[in-house]
Amino acid sequence: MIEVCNLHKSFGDLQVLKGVDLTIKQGEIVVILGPSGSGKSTLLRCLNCMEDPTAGNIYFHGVDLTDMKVDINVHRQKMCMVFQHFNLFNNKTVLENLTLAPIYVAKKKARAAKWAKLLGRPYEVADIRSNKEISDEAEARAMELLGVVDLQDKAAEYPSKLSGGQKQRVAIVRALAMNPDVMLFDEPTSALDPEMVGEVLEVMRDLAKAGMTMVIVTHEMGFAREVASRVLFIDEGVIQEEGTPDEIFNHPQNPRTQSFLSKVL
Amino acid sequence: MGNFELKLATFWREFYANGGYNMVLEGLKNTLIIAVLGLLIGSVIGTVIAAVRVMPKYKVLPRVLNGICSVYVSFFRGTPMVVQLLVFYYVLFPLMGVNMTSVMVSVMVFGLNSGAYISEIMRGGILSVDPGQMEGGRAMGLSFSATMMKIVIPQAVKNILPTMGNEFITLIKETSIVSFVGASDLYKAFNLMGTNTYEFMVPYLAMAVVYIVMVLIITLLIRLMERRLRKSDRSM
Repeated sequence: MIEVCNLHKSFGDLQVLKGVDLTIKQGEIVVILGPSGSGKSTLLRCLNCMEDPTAGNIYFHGVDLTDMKVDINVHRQKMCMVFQHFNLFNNKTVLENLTLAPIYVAKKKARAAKWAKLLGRPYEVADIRSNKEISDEAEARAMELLGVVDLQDKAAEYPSKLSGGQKQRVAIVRALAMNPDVMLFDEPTSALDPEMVGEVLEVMRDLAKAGMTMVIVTHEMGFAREVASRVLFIDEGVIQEEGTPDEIFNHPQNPRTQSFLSKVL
Repeated sequence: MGNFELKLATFWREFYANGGYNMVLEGLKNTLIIAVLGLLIGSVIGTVIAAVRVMPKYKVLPRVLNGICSVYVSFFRGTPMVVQLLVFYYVLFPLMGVNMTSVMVSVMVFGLNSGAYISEIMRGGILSVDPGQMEGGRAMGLSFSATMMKIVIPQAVKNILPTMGNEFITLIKETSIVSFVGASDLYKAFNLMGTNTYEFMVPYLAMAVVYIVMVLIITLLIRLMERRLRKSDRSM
């Protein structure tokens, strides 16, 4: 589903990624580990071009995302991201946070279809819907998703009224509202109070069980061991070692992996 | 101050019996039209310029637009508004063959001028919004402009409201220069009353009072607006 070829990323003179090759298949749960400053977050942020790669290619469903002519927004709608600091829209209620992007996308499609109809070009009849239909559907879906994470009663609140764990759960279902093919998690529990980590991991565990393709940067070793189908260890801008959780955690081969794990486990 | 009562009576006669209040009302109307429309035009121009200036600049188009915007801002911030008013009214529009009333020209110049200032206020406001908000929107597949309009600018506006109030007050007071191109504003009205009676003290004091009252009312309105916009904050 995602293929990364020889990815390089520099910030000025600082080389962060020095040639990463990676293939992520449908349904895989890839956990990226590594010491701080190793480039793991940068790698994740390059996948959806939040950081533009300096060199190399990223293919998503066969389309090269590093091509400037590609409309990156269309692909990001299928590759949603959950951030360390949640990044919920502060000026919108929880419900609006969930419906904003789906409504935007559906309205855009409806507009395009209406123009195509007008100009006699081919279009999807199903795309032509009234604004009311679009927002009703988005709201119903949002409430359903809020039900999944047990936050339906917070729908009308602003994010500032939520706890960290609640914010992150909203952020996860906000991404889910787009029906993404893959979800990227950038240290989703690092900014949380310890007692809130569990509730967020619980949601992610359920997602994993449901077969969502996930790429996760995390420091939660226990969680990584439990859900990952593959673990990558990154240091100094390259993948040092990759394998099943059992291989990485119980029989690490690379000395760097060994020393990292001995520090954190 | 023995003859203050006399001066007051002279002013009152001029203001009330001789119909001076008509001029004042007309001036008040024009002053408000110029300041309010100027602020509206300025806000639109300023927001667009600010958005252009914070755009990521990988591509050619944003760079070109950015260049145009900085020339615009340098010109309108670098010359006095009186000069702009005179240039537009006596030079530019006659050359272009455009026929506009002095109030219309004033509205335009005030709009263009405050657009340059508001663009910088707005840019500061946009930069004050957590970059994570932009990232959050972009990561969901919203375009730069959509994220800007739906997420960043509404939050920026909340942050800059006190400064925008400042700008509006400045505009209101600055309207006293439009009589340079013959528009009837508050200054012209009170000045004329002074000229008619050879007595300037009371008209000028009255003019100051009118300006102060206007500014106080605006301050109050802005405070009410701010309170409404703050409803998504924890502090309320």
